[in-house]
Amino acid sequence: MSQRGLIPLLLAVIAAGCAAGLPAPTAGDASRAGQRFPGASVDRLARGRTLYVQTCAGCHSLKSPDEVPPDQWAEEIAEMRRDHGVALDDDGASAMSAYLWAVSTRLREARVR
Amino acid sequence: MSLRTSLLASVATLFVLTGAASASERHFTYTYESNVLNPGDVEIEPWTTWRAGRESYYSRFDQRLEFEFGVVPDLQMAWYWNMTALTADETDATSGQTARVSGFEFGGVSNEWKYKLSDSFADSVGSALYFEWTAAPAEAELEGKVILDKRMGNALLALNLVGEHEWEFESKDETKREIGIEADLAFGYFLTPSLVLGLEARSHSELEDGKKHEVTAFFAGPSVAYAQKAWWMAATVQPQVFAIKGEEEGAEADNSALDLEHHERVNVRVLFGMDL
Repeated sequence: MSQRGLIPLLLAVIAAGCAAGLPAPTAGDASRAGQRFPGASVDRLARGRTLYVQTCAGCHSLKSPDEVPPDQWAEEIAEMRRDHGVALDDDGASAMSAYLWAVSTRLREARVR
Repeated sequence: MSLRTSLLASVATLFVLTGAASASERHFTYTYESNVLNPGDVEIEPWTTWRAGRESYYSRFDQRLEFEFGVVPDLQMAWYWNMTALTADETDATSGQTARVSGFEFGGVSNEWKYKLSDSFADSVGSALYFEWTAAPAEAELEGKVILDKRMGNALLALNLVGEHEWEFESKDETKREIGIEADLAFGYFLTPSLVLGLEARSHSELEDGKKHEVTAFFAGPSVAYAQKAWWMAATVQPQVFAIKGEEEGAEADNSALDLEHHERVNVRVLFGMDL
């Protein structure tokens, strides 16, 4: 490969590497989550994403949402509140669960395809 | 009881006393990452840095005991208690005789502030600003860092650019001023969510009186980090790889050898972190 071809390839690799690892919620996520979490909206899922970063990244590396099966996220969050004293109210826990459930579902479905 | 024995005993006691809560883990020892403690969280971190091998016998343990506090979202502060134990060969200027001497010194207290700007996983690039001051009986120091990091899947990359300004009060009328510039680069790979293996490289430059380049020493070596929910540890072994020495009057710059006047052959750092 010529040097000219190598530079765009390197830039593409760097850009891919610098992409946010935690997807922003979409209308599709909100629609899917609404069937399981009443009142789910893009704004509410975005709040769940913000809480996930603010609450969890202070203590440990964040997991990608699809590292955990969608239905297991609510239990993970409950365990962190119960056993590790994570300060998160019920509404915040519900928003976080909805976000992680929706994005985990989306990423896992994309993986299967 | 020796200093080392007492520190090991302290660390063992802390392991027993700590509860099952989360700690803010670090994956490298010289290179900082952008994460900060959550508001209200408190963590204790005993540091041990072993610096060994200079022109003659030199073995130095720098001990720091750090108490870290989450202040408000994205802002943490810490207090450090610094101590140094040194054993080295010293040559008497008049008799020319060399003797091995040991000493223990209180290295003062330090205060750190760290503000997180973006997250290494959630955002395109993680970033934070860091400021630290130290006040000791015979010296004072200011230090600033720009911290960048990025998590990509199981890989973790971190870069720090560091500037430090040190004043040494040698006598009532004489103060020696020194500027240090450091760059730290680290790469880590999560073998499991708890275990990270990596490489850490560091360059440290010293400028005498803030102007004249004295030396730049380059270190590189492996690192390992292990974390559990209530505690974490990280260790790095960094041998000096090469040095670039400033030109002395009437002499050519010598880049062929290590710098053993200002830096050591090998640095080893071990950190523990425990939630309180």
